[in-house]
Amino acid sequence: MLDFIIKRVIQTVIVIFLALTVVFFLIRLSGDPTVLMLPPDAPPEQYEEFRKQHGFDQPLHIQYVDFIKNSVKGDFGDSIRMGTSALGLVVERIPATFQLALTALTLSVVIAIPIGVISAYKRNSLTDRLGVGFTILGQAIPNFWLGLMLIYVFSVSFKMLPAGGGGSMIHLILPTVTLAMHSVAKFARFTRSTMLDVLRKDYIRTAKASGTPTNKILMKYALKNALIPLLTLISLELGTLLGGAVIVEVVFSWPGLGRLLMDSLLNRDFPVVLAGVFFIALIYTFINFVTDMLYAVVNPQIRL
Amino acid sequence: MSTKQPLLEIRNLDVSFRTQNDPLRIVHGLSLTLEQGETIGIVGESGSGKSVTSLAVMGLLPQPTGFISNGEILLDGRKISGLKEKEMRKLRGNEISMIFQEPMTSLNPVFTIGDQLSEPLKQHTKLSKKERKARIIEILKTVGIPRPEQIIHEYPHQLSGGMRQRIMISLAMLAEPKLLIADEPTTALDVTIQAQILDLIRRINKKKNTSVMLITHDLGVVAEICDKVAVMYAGEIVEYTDVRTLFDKPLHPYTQGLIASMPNMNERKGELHSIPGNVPRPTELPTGCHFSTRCTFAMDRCHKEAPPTISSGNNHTVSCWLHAIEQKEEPLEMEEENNVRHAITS
Repeated sequence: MLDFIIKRVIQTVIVIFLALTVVFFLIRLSGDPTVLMLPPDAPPEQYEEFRKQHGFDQPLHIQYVDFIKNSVKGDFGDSIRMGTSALGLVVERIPATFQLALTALTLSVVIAIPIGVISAYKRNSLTDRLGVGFTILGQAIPNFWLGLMLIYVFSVSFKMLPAGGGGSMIHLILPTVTLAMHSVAKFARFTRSTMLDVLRKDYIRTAKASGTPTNKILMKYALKNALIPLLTLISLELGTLLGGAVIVEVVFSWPGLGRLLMDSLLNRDFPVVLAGVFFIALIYTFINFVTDMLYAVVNPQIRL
Repeated sequence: MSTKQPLLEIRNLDVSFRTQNDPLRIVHGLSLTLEQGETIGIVGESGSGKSVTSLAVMGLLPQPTGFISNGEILLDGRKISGLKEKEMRKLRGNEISMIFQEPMTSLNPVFTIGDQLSEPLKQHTKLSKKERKARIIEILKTVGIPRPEQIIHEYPHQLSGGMRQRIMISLAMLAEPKLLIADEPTTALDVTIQAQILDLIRRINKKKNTSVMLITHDLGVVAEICDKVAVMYAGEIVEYTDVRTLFDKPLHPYTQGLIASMPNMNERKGELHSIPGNVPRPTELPTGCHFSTRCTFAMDRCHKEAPPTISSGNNHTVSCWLHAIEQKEEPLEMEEENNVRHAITS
């Protein structure tokens, strides 16, 4: 167990280091932030001054070494745009992103698993076909379009829900539904196929031969087996939702990490982008770690 | 044999599977009876329909493809074929239990042994949690599981194949069923473990007077524990008799072939005898006698007409033209009782 944790911590450090390195060089390919920050008619001395201030006058490898040195201390520098701590800006946005990701994930699990189980049990029935049809639709609809349609219907036409912004439960509804749609589809399809597989297993026949009612076979004996692979998918999805809700956050002006990253990228606000990447990588590896721990709970054959 | 009602009676059973074309008949015209406390062996090669027969009795034919297309199954005189799933569920694990071929995959990997063993008790008895535990520990002791108090907290992967098959047997025996169906219970096990498991089944049969329907391809196993035997070929019973007669005086060429192919410990033959060819697929059954394509005694007639079921007395029946002709000189009685198979007309 302790071995496992130590190994994981080392892995996490490596993953974060690699992620930061790649992003550090990649964003520098996007161009010079000075050009965006200063007015085009500013005198060249001012440009020099700005570059010096942010260290852009140094050779790339020196910049990189400085960056790594500072980030080990938890210092990602100040936002070029805002002038405040980059990490501070990121941390400020985390709760909103978490809130959206967790509600979307919960909603999709709650909806998708029953759909998947029923579809698998009533394979090729009308219910199954409707379920499968719904999931195909869910995966096919791009979420920016779904978001806009929801805004059109519920905010513009019926004026029931706010079109954007954050702060209350009501603001959460449309972005959650939009974000969950894709996950629902993904989970339901996966649950269906895994359950179909599990239901063919010998131990399900054994449960039937013991006189176990169908409900119990499905929800207890089969579902727990299906949960093992499903768990991976759900936790990976949580990572995706946390780091990748960019489009939905932009569509609904949701004050989360995704929107901050988007804005920072467009403005070449390198410190904020790197701080954001640092956080997402950290969350991702942490979720993977928790998933592996959960495996041991669900699957007795795995010992950590 | 007593004149009272048999425990299990299968009358003229046909089992079919839905396919994209016409339904495919896998088991045809199968009749047999099993008295309380009796052990019957159902013998045949893979694909002869023996497992399908046992699943039909359990009401566990693969859904929605498999179904009973003709005939009926009676348990204690009550018709159980065609029962509603809800009614059938009350019988399963209660009056009829089943042990499967694969002990390695027949237990649920993510639940403890205790959890899985309490299921039939939860379904069929009103025992409290404590009583259930006591009952489970007791049954585990009778099937020879060491330290049952610990085993109930363990998971299947922590046990060996032989142990798992014992768990399966205890699972089947928990509610003290009248009929135990064992589908190749020893095939997946080591030889020494096989003997122990067979011995266990025999002990249960003797002690609890449980009737046993043993499905196997191994005549050695049959000789070991069965009272009577039905030899199946391509979905039909070709010979049906008590176990002594079967080995002393096998009538059907297929049975003779099976007996000849048994390995013999006392002789060192160069090569084992084998019956050439395979069981024909249900889609490709030959006309006439289904065994005719592999039979060394096949005559013209065998390829054209399905053989009648001949009684050679003493509850011994065989479906073969050889014996129909042999017995022509003697007055032949076709028994009309239910436990004798009907002549098959194609």
